[in-house]
Amino acid sequence: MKNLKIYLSLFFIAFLFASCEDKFSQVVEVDLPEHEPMLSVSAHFTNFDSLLKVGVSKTWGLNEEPPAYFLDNASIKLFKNDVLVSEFKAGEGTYYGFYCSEKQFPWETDGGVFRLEVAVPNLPTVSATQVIPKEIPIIEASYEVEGTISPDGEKVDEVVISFNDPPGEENYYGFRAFGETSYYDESNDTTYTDEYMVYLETVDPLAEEGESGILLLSDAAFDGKKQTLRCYTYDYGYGKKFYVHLVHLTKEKYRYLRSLRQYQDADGNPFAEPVTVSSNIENGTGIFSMETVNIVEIEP
Amino acid sequence: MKHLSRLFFLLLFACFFGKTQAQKHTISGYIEDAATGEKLISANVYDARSGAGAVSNTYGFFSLTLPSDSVHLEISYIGYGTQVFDLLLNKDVSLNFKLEAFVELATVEVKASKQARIEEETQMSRVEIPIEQIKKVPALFGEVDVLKTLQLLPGVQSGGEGQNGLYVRGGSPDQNLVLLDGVPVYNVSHVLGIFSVFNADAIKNVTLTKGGFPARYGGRLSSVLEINMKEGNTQALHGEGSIGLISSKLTLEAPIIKNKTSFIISGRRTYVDWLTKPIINQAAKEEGVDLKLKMYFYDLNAKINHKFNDRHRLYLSAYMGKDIFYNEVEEDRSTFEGGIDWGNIISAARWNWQISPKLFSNTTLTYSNYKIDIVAGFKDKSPGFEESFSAKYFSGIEDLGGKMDFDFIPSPNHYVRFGGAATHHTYKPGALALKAEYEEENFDTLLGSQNAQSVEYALYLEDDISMGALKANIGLHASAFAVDDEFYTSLQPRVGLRYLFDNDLSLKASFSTMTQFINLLTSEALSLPTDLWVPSTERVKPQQSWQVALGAARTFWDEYEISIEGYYKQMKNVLSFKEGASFLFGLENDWQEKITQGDGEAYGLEFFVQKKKGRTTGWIGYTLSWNWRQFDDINGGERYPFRYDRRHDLSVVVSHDLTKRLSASAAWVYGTGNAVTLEIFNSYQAGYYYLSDGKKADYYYVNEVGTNGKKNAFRMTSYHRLDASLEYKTKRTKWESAWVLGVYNAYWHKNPYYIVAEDKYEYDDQGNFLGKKTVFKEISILPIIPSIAYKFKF
Repeated sequence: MKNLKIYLSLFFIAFLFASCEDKFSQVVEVDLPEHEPMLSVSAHFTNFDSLLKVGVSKTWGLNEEPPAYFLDNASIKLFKNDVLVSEFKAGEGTYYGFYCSEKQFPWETDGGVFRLEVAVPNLPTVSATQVIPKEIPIIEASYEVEGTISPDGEKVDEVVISFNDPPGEENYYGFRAFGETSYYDESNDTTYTDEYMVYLETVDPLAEEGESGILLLSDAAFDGKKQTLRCYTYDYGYGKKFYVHLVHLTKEKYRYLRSLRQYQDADGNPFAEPVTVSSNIENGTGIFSMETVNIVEIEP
Repeated sequence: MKHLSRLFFLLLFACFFGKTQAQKHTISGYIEDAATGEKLISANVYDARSGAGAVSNTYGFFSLTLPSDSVHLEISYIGYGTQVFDLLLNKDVSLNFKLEAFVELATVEVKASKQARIEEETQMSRVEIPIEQIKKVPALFGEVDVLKTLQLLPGVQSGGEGQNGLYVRGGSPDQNLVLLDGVPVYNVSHVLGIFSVFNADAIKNVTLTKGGFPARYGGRLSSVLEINMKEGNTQALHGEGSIGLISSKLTLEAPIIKNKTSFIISGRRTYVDWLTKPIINQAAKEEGVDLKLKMYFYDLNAKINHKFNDRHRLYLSAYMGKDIFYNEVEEDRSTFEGGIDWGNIISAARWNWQISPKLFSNTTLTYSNYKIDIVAGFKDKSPGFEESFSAKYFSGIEDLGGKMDFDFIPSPNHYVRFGGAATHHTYKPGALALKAEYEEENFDTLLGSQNAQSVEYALYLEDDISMGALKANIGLHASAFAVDDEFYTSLQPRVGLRYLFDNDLSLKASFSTMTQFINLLTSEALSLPTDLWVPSTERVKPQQSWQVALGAARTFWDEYEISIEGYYKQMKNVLSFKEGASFLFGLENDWQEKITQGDGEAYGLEFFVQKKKGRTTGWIGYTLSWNWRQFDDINGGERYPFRYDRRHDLSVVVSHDLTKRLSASAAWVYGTGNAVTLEIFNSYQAGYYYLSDGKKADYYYVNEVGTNGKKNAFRMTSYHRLDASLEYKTKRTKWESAWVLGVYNAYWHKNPYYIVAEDKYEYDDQGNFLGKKTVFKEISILPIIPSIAYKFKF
């Protein structure tokens, strides 16, 4: 019994001692290491742009003031199979902030490996590689006004795009569409033409939405076969002309576009899974991509 | 695979018939507790003359075939006195043995017996913990918890502070097959994972298998947890229970017909809501609102067993448990309500049939139902302006199944098990019912996925073969799954080997493949019982794994069991929500669009030393492990550490009888912090808009992206905690009682439960605003928690 009293006393002393701790706070502030700034590169090259443009900025820590959008002291070089293809100079006019290639760039889908190198004083030099994907032609495309029913039961316009997927390789595709309307202004007897992006949607389980209204598709489920993507749009055929783009993407660009869209969708949703925006920039962040676009004009 | 099957059957044939059979007879029967009639699982029957032995199965049945001769049987079970029996074996005999527990044998000299030792078993990666030992481990709020005790074993981790989920060898909780009396249990937690649904007073036995799975197990990748309920005292009315700070429980068991029919019924309920009701109501009234609060869980276990004769027995068992969190706030003419409730209903009917002295069968019919409801709504009854809105989210899974298992023991060198099962699953994978009555508009709609059905089939055959120092368990598990128009099949070979050296050291190795057809979608963003059970489908392929393990085991000084095991496991088609997906929003989409499948890889080393006898008992368990996941759609396709990747995991559990009446226990755990994803820097990512002709427009966009670069790259603070308890027992003729004082998290370590980013505003001494900064805070939910409980037994 004597022992019991000792044990009980020890128990209560331990409890009282522990109870005094820090006003019962159950929150601990975590020390995070200082953020070491690095380069963020935005380089999206396509076969329709012989003038290549690169945006370069600097990352900043959570508790730092955001820097200016673009850095103006970057040195940028593009290599093909380790041979310098072009250097970049600061853009002017509408390209102010971006860097533009000094030479017109020949778009050659010969399997050559392109490496983009970006250096800025006092920041780690970054690089990324890409191989230009081959152009994949659209073999059929159609636009039918009120041609299908949306998941909400509404009559909507249908866009159908078919293409042949090259066998034996991983391929990634993007689809976007544009409409073109024109109107006549009596006051100055002029016809104006306006172009706008048409947002395509689909119930195809293989397709996903990417950033900036592009629909994404991987060929994992249809390697080497003819594939038809059926989309719908609420555009209602207002456009007189209609353009469909089939973008042959690299895997890195496909992942970038998809994760960036997921990031934007999840922003502010506490129930959403965390999103890491994909990057192919070594020692930095952002994207260097090369993509080949095939365009078809169709009449609604 | 075809050749493998042929080889397997040839091997079995050779083993059975390869030897010339001498004149032999079989001793068979049951081993049970003399005082309660409970069947003893894994009790030993050993013939000292021939050196042959047998072990009782889950139903206490044993069968030992020996040459015609005089035999000297020793029947033993840990914690019980050994019984010795001599007979001249000249025909098949049926013998039932009743062993007396040490507590009833205080004055009897305990004879050294041939106990089953860890080094003798073929099975590796399996731990069996006696329920009495589980009851000694200090517990949160004094509520004895089977699952939290299992988390103290090597290779088994908890998900977070106070959580019940088991993460076994790199797996996730849905990869554990949890069987209560042979019925799958889909939700094992009360109170958001803080308590398990298993009431220790109603449980007889707990066995966890982490790897080296024998062929009789299937359907999950990572572990099998078998929990057997007590059967009910066949001799006299007995009861036990406890009264604690937050819950009380009572168990009664008694014979209906002595030695033939008995029952057990056990109930438990928490009463935090009753205790806090006056305080909460008073506080609510002061705020001018009327508050109705429900916050409790309960569970009820019941079982009846009837012995028709020595060859036929019937067991009916059921479990029902529910958690209810609900509040209703009435203010003026408005009423707001919100709540969540979830629970399991489980039942089983089992029929034991001893077909012959060498052949035993068990037929089981099972029913399991798990469902969760979340409600939220409001009503406004202002005169001339009545409106209401309600939302109800519900999901669940319902199983109806049947299985037949056979134990065939042709000789002491073979223990053959075979059988089959079929289970019909109905999934309710998340739906949202919305109902509104407004002045201008009414609607009543249902969003979400439709119910899905599937049928799962399994067949198995295994043999535990003894070849002197070498023992092997070889088997094949075949399973199939029918869902919609898809029919998946899977052949899963299993091998376990043990070689016993002269110095009682054994080396063990195992290889097993597993396939899992049903999946749990779990959110990393929050821990709620809102997880969805969904089937494999045409798009969602079955999860698969293979695991290889190597180990050594030995008992020292007859008291210390030491084992060391290394394992490597690969998992294929494991599931995860896609990045950015949310379980609650986007219900208009199919759940399949929210998930992605990828690979998992886990490897590690486990060290375990356990002392089961003497005044001091307990164990030390240490795990060094790595746990990876790789999904094409997550983290840019790069592999990343799983959230529960834990490099070091250590537990030390000690119980000591200070005196006859007083005992003390302590448990200390340490674990590397969980991996989490935090946005710790920002970047600009820019580009030009495209035009219809493929060229870029003259205007650009800039996205501001917050990132940490890689998924799960940040570690929360390491976890460690000490729990302790003191138990003081008193005993009268028919009434035993004990006071248990406990303390959880004795030195109040603020173990992180989750981490949040917050804006912190900084001021100088004069109160002038200096600036704002973002800080991360680890939130801990369980401080030091003392507890007191009164236990009784009669």
